Amino acid sequence: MPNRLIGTLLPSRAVLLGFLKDSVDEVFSTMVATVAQLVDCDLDGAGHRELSAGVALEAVVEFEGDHAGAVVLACNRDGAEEIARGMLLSGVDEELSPEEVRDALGECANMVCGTLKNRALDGLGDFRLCPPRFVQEGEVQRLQRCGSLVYRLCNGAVSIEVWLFETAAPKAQDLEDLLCRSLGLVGEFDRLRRGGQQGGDLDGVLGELRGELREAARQLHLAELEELAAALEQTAAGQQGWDQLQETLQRSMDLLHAPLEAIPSPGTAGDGKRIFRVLIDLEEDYELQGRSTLDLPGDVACAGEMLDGLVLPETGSLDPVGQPEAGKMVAIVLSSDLDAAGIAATLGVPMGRVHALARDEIEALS
Amino acid sequence: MSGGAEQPRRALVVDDSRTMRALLRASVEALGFCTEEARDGAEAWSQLQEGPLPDLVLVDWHMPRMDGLQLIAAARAVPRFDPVRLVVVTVETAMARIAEALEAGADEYLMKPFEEGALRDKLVQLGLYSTAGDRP
Repeated sequence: MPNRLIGTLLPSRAVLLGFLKDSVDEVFSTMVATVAQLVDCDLDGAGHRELSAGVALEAVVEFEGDHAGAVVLACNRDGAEEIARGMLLSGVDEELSPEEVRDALGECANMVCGTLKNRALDGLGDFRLCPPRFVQEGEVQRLQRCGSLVYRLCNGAVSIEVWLFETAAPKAQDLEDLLCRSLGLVGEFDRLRRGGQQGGDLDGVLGELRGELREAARQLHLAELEELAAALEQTAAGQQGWDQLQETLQRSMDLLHAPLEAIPSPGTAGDGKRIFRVLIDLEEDYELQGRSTLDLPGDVACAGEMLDGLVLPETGSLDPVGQPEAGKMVAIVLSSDLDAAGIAATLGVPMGRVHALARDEIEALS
Repeated sequence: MSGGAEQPRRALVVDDSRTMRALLRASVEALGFCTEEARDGAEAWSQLQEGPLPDLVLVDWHMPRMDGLQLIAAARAVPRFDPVRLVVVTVETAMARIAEALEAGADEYLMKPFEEGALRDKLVQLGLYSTAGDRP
């Protein structure tokens, strides 16, 4: 498998597998009266294919939304029956129909997937669960397995795996294109504004700019950039006063200068600032190789650690570079916009080192 | 206890998974309820209209034919069902989903998987069970 991130927002495979284990533990300790001992934990390996007695039943619960994937629960015959008995609290002499076993297994997979979604995904976007279904071996090949846990039960075994659809992360080039469009819109906005234009065209450009920035912020998970873009639009449209925009900016600046530990966890409004802090800390080391391409040799792992779960880069992946790079570019877009519109001077708020590179400086470097 | 002649409280368990129906049935019966089951919202809706009113409906969210929220919205549109306490039992625990369920008219929300005492606590909150095991 190529060593790349599956999505910019998802935790790394190792972190996801940790969430899966916690989810399985919670479901088994509360809803399944049996003893399950973890005997194997694998990020890429053969997983349930190694179940000695062979897979008899494979329940899949898919999730859809900002990312798509599935939890796959594969059992040998004894394992499936044991889980069903554990859930239905039925005795060993009590006969269970195949439908009862399938239903219990599907419900177990449903709860594991739901718990995983709650623990690992809901903070990152909008996700929905699909009803449990049963598959033939090999049917889930279009998914990429991210990790598997194998449990030994009293009489059988179960493998519980998390899979992800192979959706490509936003490419650096895509983000660059998007941000270039934003830059173009900023220029257009500024030209119209300086020409004394009001209403129609100006509003249209501003709306389009807002849309572009929102899309960038959505892809980058930068909540406060979204907030800033919205605040900028509201201020320019006269829907809020300068003091409110100043307050928004000041709040952002406070976060920017706060110690990294004081910045809220990933998935909250502090995400962008975490990225910016990484950029600030790495600022002296990076090397510009193009108009908007940053090369952070040796610092990618450091950035990943500092991002603490938001993005855990894997060696050789370009995406961890692309994300802070794009975050930087969004900051530049906003900075340029505020400056061009004369807003920064009016506010008197220092924009900080995040905005140290202006557009012309980047162009000069390229 | 107010007296031996008092009828036990009635619960309707609505879930398309027979496993969950069995689990929930066992849980509420252990708290003194007598229970009926329905396999989806449509079946539950028929039972609500035709049978005696339950005190409590435990309803799954995602079901074929008529889902839990549709059932809740339908029930809340009929004043006769006002006394019925509606509890959504689901793995959907995102805040937006909880808000959606409560907005539709659910009285409470039970997240799966749940600890043994979680259902009892919800029923206490709804005034359907007292910690002493008696009716409030």
